Amino acid sequence: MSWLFKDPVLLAAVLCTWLPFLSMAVILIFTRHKPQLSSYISIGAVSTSLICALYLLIKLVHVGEPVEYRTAWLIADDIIIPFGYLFDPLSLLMLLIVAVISFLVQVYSLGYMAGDPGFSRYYAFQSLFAWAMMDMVIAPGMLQLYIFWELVGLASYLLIGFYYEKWSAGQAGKKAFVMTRLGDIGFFLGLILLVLGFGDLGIVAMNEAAQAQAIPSYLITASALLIFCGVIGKSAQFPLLTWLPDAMEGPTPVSALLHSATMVAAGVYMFSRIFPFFAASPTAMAIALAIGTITMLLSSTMAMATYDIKQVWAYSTVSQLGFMVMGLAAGGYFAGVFHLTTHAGFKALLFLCSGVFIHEYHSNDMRDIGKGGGRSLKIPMVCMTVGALALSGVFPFSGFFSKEAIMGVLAAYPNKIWLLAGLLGALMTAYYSFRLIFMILFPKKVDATMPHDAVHYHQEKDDKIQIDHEEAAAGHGAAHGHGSSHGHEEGHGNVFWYMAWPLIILTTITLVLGFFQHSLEGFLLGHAADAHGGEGGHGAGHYALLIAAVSMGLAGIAWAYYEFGRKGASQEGFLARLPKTQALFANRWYIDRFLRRFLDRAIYGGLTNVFTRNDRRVIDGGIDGFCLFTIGSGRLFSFLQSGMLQYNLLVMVAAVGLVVLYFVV
Amino acid sequence: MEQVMSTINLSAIYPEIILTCFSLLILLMQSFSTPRFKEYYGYVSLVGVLAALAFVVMEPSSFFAQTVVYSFNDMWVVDNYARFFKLIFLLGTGLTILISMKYLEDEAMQYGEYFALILFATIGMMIMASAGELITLFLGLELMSLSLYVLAGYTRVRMVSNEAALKYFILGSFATGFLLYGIALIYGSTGTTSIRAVAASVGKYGLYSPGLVMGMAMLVVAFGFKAALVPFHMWTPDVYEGAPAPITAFMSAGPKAAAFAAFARVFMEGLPALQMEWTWLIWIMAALTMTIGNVIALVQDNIKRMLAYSSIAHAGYVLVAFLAAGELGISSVLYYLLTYTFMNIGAFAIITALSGRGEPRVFVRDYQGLGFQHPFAAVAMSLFLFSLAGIPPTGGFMGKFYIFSAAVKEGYIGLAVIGVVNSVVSVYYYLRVTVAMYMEEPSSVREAEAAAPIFSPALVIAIFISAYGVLSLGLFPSSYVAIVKQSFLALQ
Amino acid sequence: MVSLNSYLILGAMLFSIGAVGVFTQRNALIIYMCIELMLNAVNLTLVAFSRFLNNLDGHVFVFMIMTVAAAEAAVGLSIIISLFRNKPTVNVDDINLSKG
Repeated sequence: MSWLFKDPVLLAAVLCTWLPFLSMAVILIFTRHKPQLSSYISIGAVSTSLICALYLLIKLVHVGEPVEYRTAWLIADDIIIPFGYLFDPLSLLMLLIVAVISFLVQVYSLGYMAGDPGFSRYYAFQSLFAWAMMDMVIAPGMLQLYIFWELVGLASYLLIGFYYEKWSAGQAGKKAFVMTRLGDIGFFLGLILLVLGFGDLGIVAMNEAAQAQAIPSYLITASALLIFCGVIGKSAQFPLLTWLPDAMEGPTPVSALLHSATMVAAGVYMFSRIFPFFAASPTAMAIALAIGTITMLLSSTMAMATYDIKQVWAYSTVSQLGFMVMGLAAGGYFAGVFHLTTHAGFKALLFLCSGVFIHEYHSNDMRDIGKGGGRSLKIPMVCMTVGALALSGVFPFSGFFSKEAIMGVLAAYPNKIWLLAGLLGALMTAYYSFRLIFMILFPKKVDATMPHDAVHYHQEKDDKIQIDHEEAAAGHGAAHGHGSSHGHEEGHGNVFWYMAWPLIILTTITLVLGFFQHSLEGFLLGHAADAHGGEGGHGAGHYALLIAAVSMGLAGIAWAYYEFGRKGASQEGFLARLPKTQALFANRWYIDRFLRRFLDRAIYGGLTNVFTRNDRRVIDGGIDGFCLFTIGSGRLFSFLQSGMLQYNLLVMVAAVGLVVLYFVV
Repeated sequence: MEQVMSTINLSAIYPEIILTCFSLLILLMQSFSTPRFKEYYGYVSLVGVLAALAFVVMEPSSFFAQTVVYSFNDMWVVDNYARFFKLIFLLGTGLTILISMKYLEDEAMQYGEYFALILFATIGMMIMASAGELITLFLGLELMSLSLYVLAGYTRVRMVSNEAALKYFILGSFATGFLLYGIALIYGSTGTTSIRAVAASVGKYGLYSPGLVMGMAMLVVAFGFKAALVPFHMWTPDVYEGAPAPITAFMSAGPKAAAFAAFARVFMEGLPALQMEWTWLIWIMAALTMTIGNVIALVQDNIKRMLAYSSIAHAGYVLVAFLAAGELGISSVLYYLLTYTFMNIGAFAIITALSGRGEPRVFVRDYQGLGFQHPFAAVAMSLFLFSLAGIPPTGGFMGKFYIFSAAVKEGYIGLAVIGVVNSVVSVYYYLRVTVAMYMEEPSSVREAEAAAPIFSPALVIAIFISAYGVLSLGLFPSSYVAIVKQSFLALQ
Repeated sequence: MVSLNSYLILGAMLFSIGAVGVFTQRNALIIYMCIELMLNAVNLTLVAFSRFLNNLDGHVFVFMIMTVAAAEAAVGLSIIISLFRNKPTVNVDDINLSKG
């Protein structure tokens, strides 16, 4: 073990990535029945990880070359599959993001999950997630990345289905698992293709080879497209985007951590990880750009039609992920990663704020929260507004800078249609976020009758969630210690502040992060950034673009104010007057229904039938026959093994005779 | 590769000397001390094993220096190949001692002979691994076998144990007769008993004398018997079933590896010129060994007997690698034997813990519901069984992977296919135990009589070491492969 | 002078007699005697080779074999005795608890 202590960097890396695993093991094996202790173990582990991640960043910030510790695993002839650690600016940055958000969310959960019967289990899963995510981030090879990618998916599945007694939670977990797996099949096929065609799954080697055109271009395109399927699944891109809103069945801190800030960003991270590899294939990049754009626009429209606050942020996450993919696919490596970073901060903030409301009012419906007096919770209200401003891309919040960067890249792209799509997206984003804010901030006094047909779907769903939530709360209501009876900041004690502090920290990050754009850019791009002054967007049209983007955001806010904020506003929105469109948006453009029908018709109806028949007749029959034969011969040989000494001797002599015969002949 | 030649080099046998001293010390303790010392025999022998281990790794120059030391007029060879095998033996011995202590206490049979005999058997194995001479080889083999005959019958009040000892003894002596006759014939044909001189003689004259070929046939019989290869396997299930559980663990790991060590040294170093002669024989034996071992194991209810057949099957896998005698082949033999030591002794550690006094609970049905009553034991047992079945991410999987890829590389594709089919078959009976542990309700009979099996700290340590070995061999094979490859280089 | 082949043939015959005896006899003690006969056949062969090769290795080997055989006798007889205590028989046909 002495090699471990000789190199502080390696030691920090090992501590950083493996302590959460240790904590999970300890919690699952030993401290399952001591919830308080479990949470301290988990938080202790993740805070150590955070310190180590910071240390690594500081230590390696000026190292130009990627630092790699690796052992080749399973050497078979000319195939190289490295395992270990790879530290370059990107992985260091992502490691820090994961560590920070994990830490904050775990602290927040002390308040949010207090008294839950599955408290220890929750922290065990959180640790599992932290471990898997961190090991994925620092993977030097695609196979390690893939393994931990799947483990992250497992953690996501477990946490979505955390309230497993709730039917819909179990369903949502399954849906998330199956849909992401669908993408992962493509991912894995891509890796196999790459192993066969190229023989090295090292990330650095892949990127260098792709840039040096050492890999045939058809191979790059094919494998890049297959690998992109993984991104589609994990980052909820079109057409596999509907699992993410359903994943909101999990506890809100989980949504903040996994389903907005880090796990779903894993797809985007992987994209940027092998960005030079993707960039070597224009076809793959074009397809990625199209998919990112479609995703962004579709999910923005969906967000306009729902009343569930978590759903709004979920759709918004999907659309922002689409936006990142757009940025990356348009060639803006830094822009994409920068937006990933800022988004992690402000989206986690938005979810955590929503969590406070949900915790207080036991409802996900923004109208209920508004009526219940949501504005009286000052800290979360302010923080949420800051988050929404950042999301809308308003100066000086972090979202402004990163959105600007992506817009710049899109503007530099020859075809301006993508830029228009981006601006449209910005408009819708501002609209739906402030629709939510205004609805909570200025609740409508008169309870007008709702257009029931149009929102039927969601109404029902929300009610169900609400009821279940209340039941769950009643189940352990005593432990909760604070019902909806006192909905104010005063007298909440620790529980409230556990939840408030992370909000304040994240708000601060959201406020200041944008101003670090240039140092981050220098860090991520190395010296290349200095040479041509960063990428894209600094041309003549820069200011025009800037104004256009910001005015889009402001227009969205104004529109939302007109419909929801001002006195006497109907709070119905333009969609209520377009019931058909509303239904379309609310039903997620019927993507689910289409997939369902596709499953029923093509898969269950056609393919499955054939396979089932084949399974029953040929495979099962064959296996049954084989088993009967094997067991039968087992009985026969076993019978021959009589255990009589003389018989044994006789067999041996006969065998000797045969051996001698063999040599003589 | 540096070669150190000297007539007598005592430092080459330090590990063996140390072990001898410790086993004598235990016998003396037994004779002269008060009965309350009997708890310490195990620890004393453990210290001896650790000391010998230290010397194997360090002496006379380090493992990685690739030195080959010949001493006692070529009768004794210490190369990395021998060192690696000694490592396996000492590991197996240490683990066996750890799992024996509690067992002996429960059976009220804490005598010093037990540990002394285990150490003597280990010395015998080490002599086999280092023998540069057929006479030395014979002495080592006999030292090992005689100790094992006694150990198999160690619980002397139990009839099955006596029976195991008697069967093992008679069949083993019979096999010894063949070994000796084979050695005599080889001696007669080549005029020497030194393995290297035999190789030189065979190489020089290109002999196809009937004496030499007959001698080789006899050696195949003898080694086949010791390594439990079909059709010389008949003793294995009976002896494994009857012997005390820790001894079964011991026999399935060390002596089998020792037989392979000697087998490989004689055939690869002494008789490579005749390889064409024995290739097909080994091919047939490997196929038979894998198939018959697995097929009979399918219908066993006694878990010790099941693992006995499984150990036969595993010898078959090793034989496949042995046949693919390239660099990859021999290094996968070493890799697999190391893995097998961990996983099999691990599994037997659990069996030892659960068997109860007089070993009444050794049937698959006794494992029903274990997953709920003793989760730790059940998890560990599942891990070892998965490894035996060759399921990733365990060492058993990597071991099989290396073996079959070696076989394919050397062109034995048919054998590799047979091997893979056999591993699939074997999953059935390994998982049967896991299924019993997790998915079946404990039978009421068991509930009534179940005295909680007690894990002693030593046993738990043994289980942890085995589990660590199985997992690290499966997850981080490259470092082990590096060592194994160096061990192979020494053989040439 | 007797030729080498005569010794070898005698040795082979003794060995075969021993081997056949081992699996035809039912008495554990007699089986053990047959095994001793096999070992002695080997001794004879070795000594013959040694004599005709003018090489002392064979002689040395014979001493080793005799020593080991003595040890083996001690172990074997004690095993038979301990079995006899549990079940008063030396007939190996009566000893088949484990099978299958």
